Amino acid sequence: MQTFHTDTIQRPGVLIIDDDVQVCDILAKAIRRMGYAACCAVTLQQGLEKMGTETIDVVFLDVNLPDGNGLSAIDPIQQMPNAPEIIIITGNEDVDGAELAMRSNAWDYISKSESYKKFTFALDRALKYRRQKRHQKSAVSFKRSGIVGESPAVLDCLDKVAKAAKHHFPVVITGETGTGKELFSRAIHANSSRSHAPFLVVDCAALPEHLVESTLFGHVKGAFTGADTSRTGLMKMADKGTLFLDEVGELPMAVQKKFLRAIQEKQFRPIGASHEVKSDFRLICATHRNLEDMVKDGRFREDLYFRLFSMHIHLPPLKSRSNDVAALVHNHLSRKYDGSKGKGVTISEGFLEELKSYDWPGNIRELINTLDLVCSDAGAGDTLFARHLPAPIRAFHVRNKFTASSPAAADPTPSGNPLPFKAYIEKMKHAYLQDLVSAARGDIADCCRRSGLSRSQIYRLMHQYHLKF
Amino acid sequence: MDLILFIHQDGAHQGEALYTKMTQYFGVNSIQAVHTMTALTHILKQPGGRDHKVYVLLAESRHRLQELYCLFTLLDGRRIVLVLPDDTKETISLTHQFYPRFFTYSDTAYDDLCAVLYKMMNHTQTHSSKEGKK
Repeated sequence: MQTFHTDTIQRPGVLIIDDDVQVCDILAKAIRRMGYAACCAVTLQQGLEKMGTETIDVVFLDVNLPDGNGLSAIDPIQQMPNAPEIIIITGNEDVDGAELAMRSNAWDYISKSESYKKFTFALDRALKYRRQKRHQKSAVSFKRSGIVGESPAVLDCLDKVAKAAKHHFPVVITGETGTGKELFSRAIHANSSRSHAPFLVVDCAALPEHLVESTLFGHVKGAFTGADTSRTGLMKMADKGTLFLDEVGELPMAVQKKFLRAIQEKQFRPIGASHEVKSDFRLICATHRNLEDMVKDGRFREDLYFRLFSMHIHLPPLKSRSNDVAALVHNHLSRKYDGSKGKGVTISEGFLEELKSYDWPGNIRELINTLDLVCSDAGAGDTLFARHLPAPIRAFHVRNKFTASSPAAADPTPSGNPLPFKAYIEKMKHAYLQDLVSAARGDIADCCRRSGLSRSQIYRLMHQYHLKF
Repeated sequence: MDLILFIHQDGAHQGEALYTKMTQYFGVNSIQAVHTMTALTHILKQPGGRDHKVYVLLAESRHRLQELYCLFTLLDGRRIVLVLPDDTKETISLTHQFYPRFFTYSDTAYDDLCAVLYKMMNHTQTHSSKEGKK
């Protein structure tokens, strides 16, 4: 019952503290159906412990618990770092209790006899409020360092950046090429107590094997052929600052052992030196590879892998945050035309629409390149129309539009390239459910009538395919 | 051309060895050499330079490095390799603000620099072909 369901992209977490196991189960199931993660605790103590170890956004808190009164726990909960929103639930309605809850800034006070909708409505509103609060907070105290976007996936990453900035442990940033891994690394550095010291980039993919060691650790004069002078390595130069290892998966196996020791001990021996040198640097690594697979294949040391993965931030591809495209476009164009008075460009609706519908395999870098190209063709002071866009983007948009409006829209099989049978069936089911919910306008009863499925079958399928009403 | 080589006309003497070595490795046709800040700015303002191009910037003096830093808004997000005049604290401190992918010094033989560039170009091609297959 206490298992917490986590995803690659973390969903909001909800904790139910109630000694009635049946209430816990029913609420948890309903919450999971809404697409959130849910866990339960049957005592106050258990609940407080969970809040210390799990990421909890909202707590449903019962008043009468075996080890204390839920209302008296509101204050201590609100003192916690990243305190969750609290919704009081009770079997015995009591005006004084309700007033006390509201005075203590609880989000709501709900009787267990209320309808299921009352719970889900309160939860949705509390989560919405929390997202807004988080956003406002980050806007005030956080240097974004050029990171643009308000989509939940980006805000979630920024939250992690803010958390990482408060500590000194290693961070691994993963994501497709062009998603901004270096930018997020710089944001961690800029918001950390090390921001006064340098941020150093080591491009592991660019360094030939024979240069990696001397670049990282440095060398003394005469250490090897060609070492005419002593050189300080980047690890020493990063003292008090941040060392950013881009494409860490390319780090040669031969160097990984020495590197692991250096990050553990905070000291290392430059090539040819008789003494070790100390350096207190913070390590951030990035990669587009799957390091876990590399460990399994024996291409990356397991001990180094575990040392690096103290915290993991996965950046979303641009296609999954198409709502940020407009902000990215405006930001780039305003930077591009900053200072050139009256020479800015105007953007048409159609232009933005086509940019949003494209899948951007090269992510933000590709978007920026496209904008530069388009602006160069259109010229300053002009309006950017869809026709200014490169042919592949236009063709993609037309194909998308055609697919969406054609009777065979639900057919996910690219002509001449059939999917495996199981994948095809899964896609068909997903498309069917989307159509069903849309046709029934989110009305579950109508969904049942149209599909011939039972209510529980529909809920199970919606959960399975991560769909919401 | 995927390699942009900046050697200011005032640093032509120091840049000669670098240019010779790079042409030996990559051939004249792969390198676009520029010799003034205006020409460099012009290139940076052209579209499409963020993906495959590598910018090798030789700073024959710290003053030149500072001058180059004034172009940071245009340089940011590009792959930069710096050739530095010295390894003094001030020069190194300014160097880090470019977030270069690699840096070396003008008193070296540039073989290491060319090995890095070779790997960068090769990696880009491999990576681009993978992206294309998606």
